[in-house]
Amino acid sequence: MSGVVLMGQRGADPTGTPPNQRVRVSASSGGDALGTGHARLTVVATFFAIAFAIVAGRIIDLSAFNDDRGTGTSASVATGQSVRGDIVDRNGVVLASSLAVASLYAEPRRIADPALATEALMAVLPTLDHGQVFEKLSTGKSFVWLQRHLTPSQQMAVNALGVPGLGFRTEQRRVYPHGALAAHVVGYAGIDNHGLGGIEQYFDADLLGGGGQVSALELSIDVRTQYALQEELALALEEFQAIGAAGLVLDARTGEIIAMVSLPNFDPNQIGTSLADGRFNRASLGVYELGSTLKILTIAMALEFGTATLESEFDATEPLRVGRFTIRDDHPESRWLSVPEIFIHSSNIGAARMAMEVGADRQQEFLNRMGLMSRAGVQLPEVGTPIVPKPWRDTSTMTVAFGHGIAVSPLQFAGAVAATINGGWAVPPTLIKSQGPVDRQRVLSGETSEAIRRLLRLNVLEGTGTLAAAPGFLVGGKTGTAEKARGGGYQSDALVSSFVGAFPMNDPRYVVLALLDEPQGNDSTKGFATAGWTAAPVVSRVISRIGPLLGVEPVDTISRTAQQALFISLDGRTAGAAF
Amino acid sequence: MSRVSVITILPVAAAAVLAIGLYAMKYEVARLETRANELQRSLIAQTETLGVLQSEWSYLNRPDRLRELALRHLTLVPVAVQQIGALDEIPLRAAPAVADNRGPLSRIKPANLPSAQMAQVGEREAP
Repeated sequence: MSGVVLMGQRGADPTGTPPNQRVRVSASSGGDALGTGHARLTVVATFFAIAFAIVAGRIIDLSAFNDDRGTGTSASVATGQSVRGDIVDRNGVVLASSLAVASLYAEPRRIADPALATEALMAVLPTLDHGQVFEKLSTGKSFVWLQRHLTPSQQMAVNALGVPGLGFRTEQRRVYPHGALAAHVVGYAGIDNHGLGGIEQYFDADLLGGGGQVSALELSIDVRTQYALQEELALALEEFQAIGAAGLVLDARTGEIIAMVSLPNFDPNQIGTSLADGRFNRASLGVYELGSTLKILTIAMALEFGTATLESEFDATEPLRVGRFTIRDDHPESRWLSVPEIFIHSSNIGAARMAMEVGADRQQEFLNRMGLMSRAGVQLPEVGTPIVPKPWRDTSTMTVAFGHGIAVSPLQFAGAVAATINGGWAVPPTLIKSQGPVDRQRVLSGETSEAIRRLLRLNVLEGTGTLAAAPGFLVGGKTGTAEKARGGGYQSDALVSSFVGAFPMNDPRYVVLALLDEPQGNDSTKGFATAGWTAAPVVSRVISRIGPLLGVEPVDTISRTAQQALFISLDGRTAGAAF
Repeated sequence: MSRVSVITILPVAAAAVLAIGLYAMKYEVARLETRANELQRSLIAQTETLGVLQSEWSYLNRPDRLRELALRHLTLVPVAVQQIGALDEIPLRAAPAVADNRGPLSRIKPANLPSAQMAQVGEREAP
């Protein structure tokens, strides 16, 4: 640098230096050749001076002002491979990750003794087919795959053989450490590294764009809760020989899906061998007529529009005839029933009468507000569209009141129930971990919500949901048993039994839903396959297991304060305050 | 003459110094680039290893496996709700009755060690 400045000075200040004096002297003496020589020298000197000045300037520019050189390259760019981003649960447990795995290939031309090489390979990779390997190695080709996706220890073992002509090529492989657990949520990616289901498909672009450099995609799922729910549902599935099951645990305040299970499930690590029935997500894609659980919404609706109060009474003396239908109660009380009685005896007649007083238009508006008339907006490609009556006749209004004639996904129904018990705030279900308070929209009044809490608790204390009770937790909930529709009629031997519960009812934190597809009664249930016998116990066991995990404080459920806070008498009187 | 030689020698010397400097710099840069590449490769390798280990860790922490291990090796069972209590459910020792109207602090003398106080409290409660 100093040299450059020196040269620059010489060129920049010609008059003060000796060569120019000589130019002047020689010019006065009239020496033409000398003058020309000096002039040329000056030109050349000036040229070099400028050149060096440019170089100096560039060096200063590079060293002093351009600091960003070299920092722009990151590891993933350097590898030149797109690395799919990780998916983790709400506590950072890895659910999906991309690993660089070695695939074994051979260059048969370079293999001197195929028989010996085959023997050696068989010793470390016993799953290979002896004959096939020998054949491949004997071909004399220049390249042949032997085994894709080796484990690191297998790779080491093959390396240790030291057989010339064998080599490894690194490939990206998607692994799911938890296998089938949460498989329907996470989904799976194909061999070309593109998501083909679940979160993997919904966030495909984000996961690919992430390149492993950004933080992993954090789901709202909690693996421990997911496991508890899955295990309890699997036990019930086996016990009652159901063809399928679905379950959800939803945060009632934020709409975060803490667990979502659909059985049978599949192992995303071996997607090729999975069955279509296993890949079907019963919790979000399946739509079911849920039956009496819908009465939660019917009563909320009647209270909200003011067509009934908790103390109103409805005539359930006789079955209700509408057109060619007759609406009956499963356990007829054959008398006038109050609103709490309609709820705990699960009276279809009472619910139908309540809905008729609200009217078809307001009912549709209400169900739409609760998110049951259109697809749920969850971050999955597998989301079922609800089946709603078209046209919406008076018959529809009545049957929808007790959950027939409308088929919704368990996921969107759990979201609607969350809104009825959390104080009346709409909480669209989400699979992404909440990053803080969200803008909530009110869909119900706080009073209606509190009434529903008390009714749900009452139903577990002395209604159809007694088997859902869990010691230490104020569980509330509603059963729903629906016959499956087939060819215009209903089949009494093919049921969908579901239970939607929540806890703790004095300040609901979590909604728990369990659904069994075609359960069969057994001796322990006295032959019944209805929800109160099959689905409710699942919810009880799930809540007992996840309550302590999720940090819900157990309370003395028979203490005076706990009972008073959620008290509601059969004629609709309330006491205390849950808030 | 001496001036001319200074003018000649100085640039030549400068050029020589620069050449040596440039040469050294070039090799330094090449060395650093090699080092940077090495680090880059190592970083990639470490990241990959980290990914493998994280997946492995997640795999080994599967809830069903943990439960099986716990059943085999531990005598612990999940916490039952009866075992969870609130802080204010724990009974406290009854406050010592103060005989006179002096405040509790007035009794404290340097000789009054906590153990001595405890004994005192015990005596007073005993009858």
